[in-house]
Amino acid sequence: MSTWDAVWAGLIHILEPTAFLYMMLGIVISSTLVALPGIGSKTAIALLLPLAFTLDKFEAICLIVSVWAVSNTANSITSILFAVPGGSGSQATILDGYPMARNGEASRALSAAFTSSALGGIFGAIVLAISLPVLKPLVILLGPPEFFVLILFGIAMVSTLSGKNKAKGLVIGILGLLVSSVGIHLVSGIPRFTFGNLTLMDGLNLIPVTIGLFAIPELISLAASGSSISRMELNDLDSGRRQGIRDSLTHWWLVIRSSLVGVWVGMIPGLGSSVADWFAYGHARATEKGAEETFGKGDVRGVIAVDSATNAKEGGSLIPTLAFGIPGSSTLALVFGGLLIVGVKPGKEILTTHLDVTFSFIWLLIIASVITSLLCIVFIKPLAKATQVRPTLLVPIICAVSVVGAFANSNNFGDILVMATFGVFGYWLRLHGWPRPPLLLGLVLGPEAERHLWTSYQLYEWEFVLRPITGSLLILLIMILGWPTLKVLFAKMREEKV
Amino acid sequence: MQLKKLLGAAAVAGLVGQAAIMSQVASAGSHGDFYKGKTVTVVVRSNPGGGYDTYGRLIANHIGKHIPGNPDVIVQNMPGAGGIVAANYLNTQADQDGTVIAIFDRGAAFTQRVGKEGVDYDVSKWNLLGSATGEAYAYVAAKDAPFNSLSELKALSDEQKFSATGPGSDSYTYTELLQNAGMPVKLISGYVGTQEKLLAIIRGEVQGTAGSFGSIAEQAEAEGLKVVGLLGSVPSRPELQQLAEFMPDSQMPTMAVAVAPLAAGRPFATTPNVPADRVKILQDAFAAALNDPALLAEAEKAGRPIDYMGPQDLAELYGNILAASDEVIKKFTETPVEKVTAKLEEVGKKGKKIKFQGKKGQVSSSISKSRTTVKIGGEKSKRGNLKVGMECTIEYNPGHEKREAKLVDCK
Repeated sequence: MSTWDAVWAGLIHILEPTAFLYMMLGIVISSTLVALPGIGSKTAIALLLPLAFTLDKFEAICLIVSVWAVSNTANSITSILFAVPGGSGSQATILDGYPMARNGEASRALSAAFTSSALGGIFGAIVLAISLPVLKPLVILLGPPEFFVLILFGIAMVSTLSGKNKAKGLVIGILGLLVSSVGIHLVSGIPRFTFGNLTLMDGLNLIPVTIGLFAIPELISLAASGSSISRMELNDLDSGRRQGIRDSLTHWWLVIRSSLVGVWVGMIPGLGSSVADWFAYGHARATEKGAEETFGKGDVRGVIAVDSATNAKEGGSLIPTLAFGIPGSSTLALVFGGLLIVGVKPGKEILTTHLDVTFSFIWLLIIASVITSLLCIVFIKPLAKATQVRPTLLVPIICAVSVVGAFANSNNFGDILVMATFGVFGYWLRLHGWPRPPLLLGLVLGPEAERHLWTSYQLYEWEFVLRPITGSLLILLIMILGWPTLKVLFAKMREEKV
Repeated sequence: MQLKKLLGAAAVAGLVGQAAIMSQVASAGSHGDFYKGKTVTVVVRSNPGGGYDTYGRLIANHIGKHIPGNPDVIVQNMPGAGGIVAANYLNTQADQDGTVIAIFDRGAAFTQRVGKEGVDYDVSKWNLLGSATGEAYAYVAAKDAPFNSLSELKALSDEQKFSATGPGSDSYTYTELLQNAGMPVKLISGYVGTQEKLLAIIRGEVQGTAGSFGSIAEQAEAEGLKVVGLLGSVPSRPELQQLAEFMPDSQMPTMAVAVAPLAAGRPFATTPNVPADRVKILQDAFAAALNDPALLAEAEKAGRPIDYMGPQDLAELYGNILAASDEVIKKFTETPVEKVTAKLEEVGKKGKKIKFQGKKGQVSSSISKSRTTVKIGGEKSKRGNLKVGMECTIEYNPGHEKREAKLVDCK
């Protein structure tokens, strides 16, 4: 089968009426479930697997792959409306999405999020399709030392996420790293800061911490102020919706860059899926014009960057899976575990004799993403109205959603305590003008940085910094970090000369 | 045609219900109807997805048919602390009337015997149902690694790096066994999951790794990697060497404890204090479910082997682990120490590092100011006083990345 034949065959398989119906079923179930905080695509797939036993090959592919492919769209809803993260990939959506909702722009924020999510999904699929011939060298280019330095770049974003007061940001970022060390240390097996407590042994979960840091303080202030989430009259919902779509299209260059960040994070095994949104947000904040002033206060570009990256990531994560036949994430392991039932195995076969299967995946990433975004856009109006509901009604609902979200993540009551603790702490931070995002950044990146540092050291001792890519990246990092100081020095030297 | 199939799929749930009703009619009144109208919960020790979850759901889907009274069966995922959370639940919180069964961590007995932090359960009090299948571990090596089998690995003098997750994980414990068998293996930890472990070989960072045969062997061989040996039997691969053949007798008790959990790879139990007749009902239902053609077909489609082990065998297995001597358990909990007597060939700056002839070539070992005991002429001394040419007895940890010395006792 030639490549072009496979492209068409892949499309035709999923357009067969029953297969298409199963795709729609996957989209609806997945979107409904991931919109609820704490429930991710993994749970959705596990629930649908028994059904897959009864299906044909491409029907099963349509059902399972679409559940996975669209799991990053609807999870922005609660992030934007209530500052409750819908999933581990949508934390950074809160940073600008929620302020937009407060400014009466919920409709615009949601529609920008959904549109850029679709665009990101399409972009990820295209990159995947283009890189099919060169998958292997791409994946083995980088090892633990390079991962470590790349993550250092992420940690350096603390300063861009800190707002005006860099020193406060740094303190909170370090606190985040410290908090991230709670749990059984992966590399040595030693428990740290667990105090014999079973909940703490697995470390602090991202979702309860995020709900605590962002949603709980908002709840408290909503209840206290007595006003609805949106502090202003809602703008015209229809025009907000159109505006959001236009925003994503006019910032096409930002969408492409953020999608690239997403694909790249997805492609690198070992960076973890909750990193993509932060990298994209940090990138946008560092490179967009005037971002310093407007980001964090409701800039639509913050939403666009994050949502295009999280959806593009899925295409990226298929790259190592196809190249080496080894699922690139635990979710993908589940997807392929399910597809085994209909005889689809990751690896050589679907890249050679059954290439049409791979193209069905790619088409699904594109078609399912677009349909999901369109469906979500249809529901924007009733969703956005939630920001006008009076707090006596809304606060108990969000409170329940928060508690269930924190619990559903791992069915553990301890996580509700974690949420409450960070809720109190988050409120204190908000009250005293300390930035909260650096804490999450430390929590997300800390364990990854530490593990890759240890592995690099075990492999090469300190000589790992001399590896060509690692060394160049390190020098680049030092230059970026030192640039503001150097700039001042250069200016002084020039003055002295004059 | 297509529409028919779709309707058929939707009707499956209905059919299952119908079957349940039919068997209910058949069995009503034959036993005490304790389970009639009740709900049985299958507690799974991990998140949705993965092996434990798959086997848990297989049993949940089919065991109800084989319990008189045909109770509803639901699955509850209870991840956390490597299975300790679910195991504790079984002992301390679950209803102890036979309505809760669990697929628990295969290392639960070992974890209890070692006395890990947080353990609040006792495997010997559980009412075991049996195990759904056994597992084998495979050792995998790079295409161009200088060994094709375990015997060739043992004959090497150069250290070979193996990727693993971290202490406490199976991949780490079973790679350490290579060291116990005297093979020159260095563990590199921090790789999570089969994918990262294999990619480390493909990138050339390490020469080998270990993983459960079912999840690693096929993928590794598809990538041109070599399977060089096994821990546990795989009937289809008789040509592969077994690690047990290379274990010195002194290490066999340790090996037996380490490998026992593999024989019962997917174990199930119900809580303590369940009346004996109900335990019997559950044990029989478990065995019957694993013989049920519907379950077997589902398992085969999912690529999950079924190999039933009964509750008596399982109890014996765990009894042996719980009764293991302290000496054997120490091998897992204490850092391994290698002891040699040799001349110091090099002494680094201020005695921070020494080089000497180990059992297999020169070893470079770090000397810690606080953790290493330095003795010269029988008296306590400082590392700065170590000199080239001294004849010393050195105890060091060969698995440590700097092979830190515990004791340097020089004449």
